[in-house]
Amino acid sequence: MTDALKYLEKLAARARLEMAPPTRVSSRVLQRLAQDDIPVEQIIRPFAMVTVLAAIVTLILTIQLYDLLSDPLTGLFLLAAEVMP
Amino acid sequence: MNHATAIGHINPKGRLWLTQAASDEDWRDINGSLDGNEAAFERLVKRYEGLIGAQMWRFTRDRTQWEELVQEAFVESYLSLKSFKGKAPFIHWLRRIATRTGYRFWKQQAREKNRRAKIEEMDFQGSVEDQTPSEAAETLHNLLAEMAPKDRLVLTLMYFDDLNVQEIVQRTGWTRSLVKVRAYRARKKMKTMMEEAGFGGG
Repeated sequence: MTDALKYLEKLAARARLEMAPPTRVSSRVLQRLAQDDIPVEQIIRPFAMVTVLAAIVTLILTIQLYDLLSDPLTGLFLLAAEVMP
Repeated sequence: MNHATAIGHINPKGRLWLTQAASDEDWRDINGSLDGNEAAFERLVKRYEGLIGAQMWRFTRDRTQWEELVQEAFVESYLSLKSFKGKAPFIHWLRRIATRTGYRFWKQQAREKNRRAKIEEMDFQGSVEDQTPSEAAETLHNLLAEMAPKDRLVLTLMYFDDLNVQEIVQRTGWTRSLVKVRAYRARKKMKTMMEEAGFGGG
């Protein structure tokens, strides 16, 4: 083992003796969980709006396509395309 | 009693209550938390906040960030509680979530390019034995902060937490071979970094 890694091993052994500071987080965790119900809805709302917009665009395009296909002249043009060289 | 029936029983609310591996009081509080009992989850937090606090202290030595990380670990554990299957003790599962939380924090720091003291500014002249444990921990933390998050994580678990390969696998979810490769490469990088910085041993 090189000097550098030996040093690292010794440093780590010394560092492991450190006591971490005490902590009390239970009340703050519960507060965050109580608040976290709202952010979930806030995340979902934009996706819901995008989905609605996509549905509207699809509906508009579908209506336009239906109009095009149900136009009597469309049938005539398709027939013409078949018989003409 | 065969293994399947030893897993648990259906509680009055129709949910499977798992009864393996974790202690009785852990199971009582896990099931209570899943049933929406706030006091039950509070007990779980109070039981393990010391251990998780010590674990997250390896991820940052900034007190504000540290408390945030400890809270984050417990919040994530609550949101993932349904996935706890009881195949291992609860604290093992909790530690894995905490590790994931800390790792994500380092990756975010790396993206924001928040850097600690450069290795060239560190003093390696004194003997390790002359350092207090806190000073040694600060030095080790700053050394490891020079590494990319994945290298930093494997070395933190190896050196700070003194974990073996299998324990690192359990803590991270990485495969055994990945842990070995990462550990080897990370140690090599650390050695090179320290030698380039003029390290003279201690």
